[in-house]
Order: sequence, then C-alpha cells, then structure tokens
Amino acid sequence: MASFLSPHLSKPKPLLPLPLIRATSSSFSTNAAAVTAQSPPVPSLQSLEEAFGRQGIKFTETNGISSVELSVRNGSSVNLRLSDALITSYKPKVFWKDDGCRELLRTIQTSEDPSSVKGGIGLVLNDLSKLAKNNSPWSPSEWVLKEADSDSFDAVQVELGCTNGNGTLEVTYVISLYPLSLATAVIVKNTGSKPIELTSAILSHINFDSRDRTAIEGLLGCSYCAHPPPASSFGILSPAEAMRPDDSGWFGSSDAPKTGVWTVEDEKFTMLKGKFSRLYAAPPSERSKEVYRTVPSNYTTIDKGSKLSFRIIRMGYDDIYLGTPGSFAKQYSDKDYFICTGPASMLVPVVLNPEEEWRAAQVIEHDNL
Amino acid sequence: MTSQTSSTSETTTTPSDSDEGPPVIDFAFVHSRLLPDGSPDVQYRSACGGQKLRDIMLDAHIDLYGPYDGPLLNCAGGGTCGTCLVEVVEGKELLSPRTPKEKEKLKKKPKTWRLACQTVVGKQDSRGELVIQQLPEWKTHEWE
Repeated sequence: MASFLSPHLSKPKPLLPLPLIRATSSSFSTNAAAVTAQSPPVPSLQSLEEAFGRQGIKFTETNGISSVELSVRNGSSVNLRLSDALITSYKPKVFWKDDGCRELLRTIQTSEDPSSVKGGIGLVLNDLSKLAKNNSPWSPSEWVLKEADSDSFDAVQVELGCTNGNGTLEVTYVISLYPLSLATAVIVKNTGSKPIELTSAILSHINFDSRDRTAIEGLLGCSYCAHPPPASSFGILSPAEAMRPDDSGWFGSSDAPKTGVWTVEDEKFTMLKGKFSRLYAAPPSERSKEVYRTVPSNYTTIDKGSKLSFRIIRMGYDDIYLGTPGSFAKQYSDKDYFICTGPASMLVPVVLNPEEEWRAAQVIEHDNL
Repeated sequence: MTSQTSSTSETTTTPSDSDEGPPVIDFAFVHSRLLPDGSPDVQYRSACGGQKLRDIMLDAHIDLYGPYDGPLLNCAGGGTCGTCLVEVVEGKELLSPRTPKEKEKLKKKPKTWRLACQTVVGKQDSRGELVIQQLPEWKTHEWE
C-alpha cells in the first residue's frame, strides 16, 4: 500500500531504532547451521560479565534468574530478565530535581516463587502454522543473549535471540535505551522452507498515579472493537479477566463488550477510568481495499496526577491494543493504577515466506524534561 | 511507478480503469517528524473529490495546523492567516490552481506549498492519488 510513496523517498525501511550502534549481528549464519534440539546451556554471571559487560551494562542475578541492567548517562535505566526477555523496570529521567527517575512500569509478584513476575514490557509472538502438543502455537521461551553494545554515554543496546526447535524460525529481540526513549524491536526470520503465520504484540504495563485523571490522546477517529489481549506469561490480567465486565458501582457493566462490533473513537481523550479491552485497528473487511484508513502511528498517555506523559510509537505493527483494569486494579494496589497497552498484529496474521524477514518495534519516548 | 493501480495521478475521470465502487481520491499524509528509525510517518485516507483540502484533512483527523491548532490561532479557513500550509509532493494536477490570496501569502515560499483552506481537490467524481506533506516548515526530511 505504500507503493505510491516509494519513488520519492530513496531511503529504505530499516525499521530498527536509530542511532543503531551496530547492525544485527551476523552470528545467525553460524547458528543456523548448528541448531540442535537441545536448549543452550545457561551462561554463568561471570561469563556474561566478561563477554558483554560494558559501561552502562551490568549483570546481576536474583533468585537464580540473571538479568541485565542498562543505564545511560542521564540516569535512565532499564532492567531486563534474560531468560524470558521481560523488561521488569524502566526508570526514565523525567524530573530535573533530585534523582528525577521514576518507575514507569508495573510488575507484580504472583506467587510464593519470587522469580515469577508479571507485568513490565514483554513480547508476545505466536507461530500459528505449527502447533505444539497441547494445540497451542509456538512462542519463544528460551532467550540467549547475543550482543550487547553501548557508546558509554547516551545509547545502550542489547540483543537477545531465540530459535524454534527445528530451525525454521529465528527471532531476535533488540532492546535499546536512550536518554529520552526506550525502543524494543523484534526481527523474525523464516529460515525454513514453508511460509509461516505469526501474530505478535509488544505489551507494556504502564503505571499511573491514580485511576481518575488518566487518559490516552491520539486515537481520535480510529476504529476499535472489544478484543481480549493475547495470552502471555507476563500479562497481569489474563484474556478472560480482561474481557469480564466491571460491575462495581458507577462504572457498571451497562456496555458489556460485544466482540465483532466496530466503533469509531470519537473522543480526543480516551479516559481510562472504566474497564475495557480494546483493539484499535482497521477492520479486516476494510483491509481488502487498496487504500484504507490507517491506525495512528503514535499515541500519548496522560497522567494528571504525576503530570507526566509518554508517547508510544508503533512501527511495523498494524493494530494497537489498549486494556484497562477498572476496579480490578484494586486487587494489586490501593492507590496506583495501571494499563496494558502496546502495538500488536493480532487480527490479521502476518505471513512470512521462506527467507523473508519481518521487523516491528515499539518506542516509548517522552518530552517531560 | 506503482503496480497496484492502473490509473496514474494525472487523470481525473478514468472510465477505462477497472476500479470498482464510488470514485474516491486516495491520500497519503506524511507527518513532519520521521519515525525513530528514519522511515516516514504516513497516514492513508480516502475521500471524495470536490472538497477543500482543509476540510478533508480536518475530517480525517490529520494534523493540519500543528502548533496553531487552537481557537484563535488560525483563521479557520478564511485565507488570511497563512498557517494551514501543506506541501504537495505528488498529485498537484488534481488540485485547483493557486488563488490570488494564496499567491499573496506564499510569495516567498516554494512553489509546491499550498494553503489547504484555499485548495480544492478535484471534482465530485475524480479519482487519483495525492501525497501531501503536513507542516512543511517543520519537516526534518527532503523530498526528491
């Protein structure tokens, strides 16, 4: 659909955040030849530190899970768990005085096991063309740190890789931290001989000070439908919980979500007080047209309590998922509120032919300083 | 140029092409700021011809005025304030020629720039493609 723009813009579409410190590594060429059914051995903290440790990249281990802490000169930092590629903390510098860094993400401890964490920013990727024994699609679960790089001041980048057991799919997850933004990108390469169908999403659980004065700006005019979030190991609300109507008090269940009904957002600010689980997308029936109305490329979260706003930019993905817990948030915290949002390609799976690559990313940036 | 449509951007009424459905004009609106990886931030829309470009952009929720979007910051279509600038990258054949008001306001600006409130896009039954650069004063990239 972008064909009528191409003669004018000579730049190709790299679709990875700039400035790229180093292009994706060529270590895949050796990996593809040596893929076995075994999972790779878990490297020790020491070996990780020796191989990848750098200014701004620090490895730590808690409860048997290694994680890496990325930080840049202005104080912003990110904490990433290596085994399941979950970003458990993102503290950008948003105020000038004192320390000035404030945690943006919400994570919760689900069970007695201290290593089970839900929330944060995570990648959901499902290979629909191949179903595992229990009829669920394959999704990446064992991540290996491939590359780490930093320019010592203002940019840090970490690359995690995962392959599926029989060498037909290679997934790379690149997390880049800059002073005012955090970019998470996914690159999927089909190294097999059959086409693959994927659905994917990058979901972030964003923290707000209070339930009342929160909104999202930028979705005006976009059509949406009620849709559950993709099932994931890190989602705070499961798909079933997200779709359940909220029946407490004033924000009652008078508008219980009906799947398949498309509405157009007619408010400039989408209030997040109520409970809903929406997918903002172009209806699949529209997509058969040559030119259809595209979903906004970015939207901003507004928190009147802390007076901060964050812009979430969608690249490569087709839809935007937005889910709010409503009164369910009280189970997890008395004062704070959170939402689950992010770019997704869920309605229409992405078809990836052999030797093709698909790239998509989410960038969270802010101008609060 | 493109393999998808059989019509080129010069035509206004094309009974020979096999497009079905009512005649619409397809738009690609490019934002002044590129996406973080350097690719352009494009929004696609479709609208009927015969309307002013300003009306099409506002109905489609495209950012036309930028920082001048408030209640008293623009003349709301009068042709006097000069804030609804757009740059026409492709498809200028579909647009009405520059009005005297435009010529006055855009004397020192590039030839491809137009005032959206003075520009009429095609006729009721026009088909075609139009690529519009929003907020050209703030754009960070160049067109060939």
